[in-house]
Amino acid sequence: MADVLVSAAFAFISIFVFFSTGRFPELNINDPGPALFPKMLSVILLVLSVALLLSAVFKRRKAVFFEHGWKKVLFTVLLLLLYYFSLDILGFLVSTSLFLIILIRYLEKRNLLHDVAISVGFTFLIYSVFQLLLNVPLPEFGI
Amino acid sequence: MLSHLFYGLAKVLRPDIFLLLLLGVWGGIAIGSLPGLTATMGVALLLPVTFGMEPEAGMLLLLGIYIGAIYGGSVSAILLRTPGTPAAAATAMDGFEMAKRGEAGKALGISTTASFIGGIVSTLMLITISPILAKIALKFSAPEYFALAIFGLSIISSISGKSPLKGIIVGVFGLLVSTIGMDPMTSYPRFTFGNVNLLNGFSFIPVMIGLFGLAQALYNVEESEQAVKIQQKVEGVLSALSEIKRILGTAVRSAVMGTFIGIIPGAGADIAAFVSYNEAKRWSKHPEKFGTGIPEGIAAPEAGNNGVTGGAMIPLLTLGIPGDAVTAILLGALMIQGLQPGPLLFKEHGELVYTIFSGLLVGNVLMLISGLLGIRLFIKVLSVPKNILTPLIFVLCIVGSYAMNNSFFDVGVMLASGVIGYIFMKLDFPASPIILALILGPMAESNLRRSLIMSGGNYSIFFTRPISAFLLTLALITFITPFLKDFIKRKNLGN
Repeated sequence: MADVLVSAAFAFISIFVFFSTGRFPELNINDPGPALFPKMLSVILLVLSVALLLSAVFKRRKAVFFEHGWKKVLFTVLLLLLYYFSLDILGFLVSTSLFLIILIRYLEKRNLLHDVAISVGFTFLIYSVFQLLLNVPLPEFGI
Repeated sequence: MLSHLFYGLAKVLRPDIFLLLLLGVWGGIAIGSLPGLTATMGVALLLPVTFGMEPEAGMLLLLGIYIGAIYGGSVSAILLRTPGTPAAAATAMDGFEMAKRGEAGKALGISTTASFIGGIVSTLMLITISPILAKIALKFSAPEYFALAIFGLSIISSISGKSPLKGIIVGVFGLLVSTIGMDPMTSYPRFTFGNVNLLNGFSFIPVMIGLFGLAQALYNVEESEQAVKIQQKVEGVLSALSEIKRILGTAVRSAVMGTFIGIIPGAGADIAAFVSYNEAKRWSKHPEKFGTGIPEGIAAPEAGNNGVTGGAMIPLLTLGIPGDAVTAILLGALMIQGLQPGPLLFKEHGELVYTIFSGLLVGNVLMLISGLLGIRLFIKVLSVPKNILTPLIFVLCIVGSYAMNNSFFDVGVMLASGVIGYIFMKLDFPASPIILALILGPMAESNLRRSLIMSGGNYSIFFTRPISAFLLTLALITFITPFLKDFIKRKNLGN
């Protein structure tokens, strides 16, 4: 089932690309122009996705996606998105510490103090290594 | 050439650079030992640290991690039967058997010695082969570079494991992604949807951090488990030295094979380890003993996978084409420093090239000494709980992708690639063809079009020039080999 969806997605992409390239300009007589390469690729991708679709239809496989851990992964991805958007607002130090405390506590509950110490300590370690030692700037403090 | 090497050696022994190399090797061994952290991930996550350094220092830190991590994978393969990196999967077979007999120390010693032999032999081959190759490559023009890119891409069918079709789809998808941004010849914006951030296309560093860092970390979240306890006593690591005579032939042969596998774009340490193991078994007078815990069964894959390190550097430095996923990141590392790997690198930045050579030699010696004397310290790393380590890796992914251009857009690209990479992992789509495609795609396209302008639109230019015709034929053979093998196998089964 998953393979069917994936090949449909790839087929959709290739059709989209094929029609988009129609509007690309042609400038030089000898240079095939910006459309040639993506157009060739879109045709190849379409053929391959049909091949994948056929092999998926003939070879039924069990869906592997929803195993035991998928809820954990989904939670982590959502938390990562939240962390991503909070970086701009709360700055690196606050949002990273919070992200680490929440994720570490979510994965396994140990001693609270211990988890907080690790999260805050690591955040400051990264901050000092990048910002102070290596001069690579990180998102500024928001508050 | 010797004088260049001495110049490089002097640079490597400068205290600050030496310290970075040593830290790299140690960090690499630790990263490699931990199952779930691979060499590629280690180099990708540490890359941002090098942005502010001079090129030599940054490269040696990353190379230290590379060789250390490829070797470090054997530690958990031997002690836990869980390879720390995919490259050490073959080592687990004989390594764990030997450890079960109570000879864990000896097994670790053999893997250390063999990794050292693999690393040194491949570095020596790197030093001899690459200047010659660079000289030949100086004569290359657009059609040859196009053919080279196609050859590199043709490897995808053989590195995609169980399903070449899926690998090729991912590769073509990667090629399409590589066309996003301004067209290399006319600057016409393609598929940018009006987004300024996309004008220069996706930078592949955030994509790599996502595919090899974040995706693997998400996988680790799913598999999260308790920390492991090492049961075996690790003693007598140095007793392995008495086996040198027995393993030397196997190790050197595997090292040479590993180097050649490393040269092939896309084929990396995991493939080299398995090929070396199988070849050692085939050459052996007593193949039936493989798998029961014999020194050769550890030496072959370990010399083979570390042999890749020097080999993969050859196409990177001479042609600007990475030999494996790690060297793809090193390519990015060099380009961020404003250096374009390729034949001109030897001419214009010879000192850097020879510093890299000397750094690899010294790094392998440091790996040998650290492994033989300090392995018991590295084993302690295995008791770090994964449930704490994985969240820290997420933070490193975010910081790493942000630090390159201080751009939140890059972080978004990293997150998206990470999630896509995770889905690919779950569905048996290999991720490495994307990287190969992102690097070779623009090279293939711009050289295809340059050639056509050269020839006035005539495609025969690729077949009338001998080197390009040769490379394209080679590409065709490489591309269809896995399908042919499959066909022959099925036919034989049918009879």
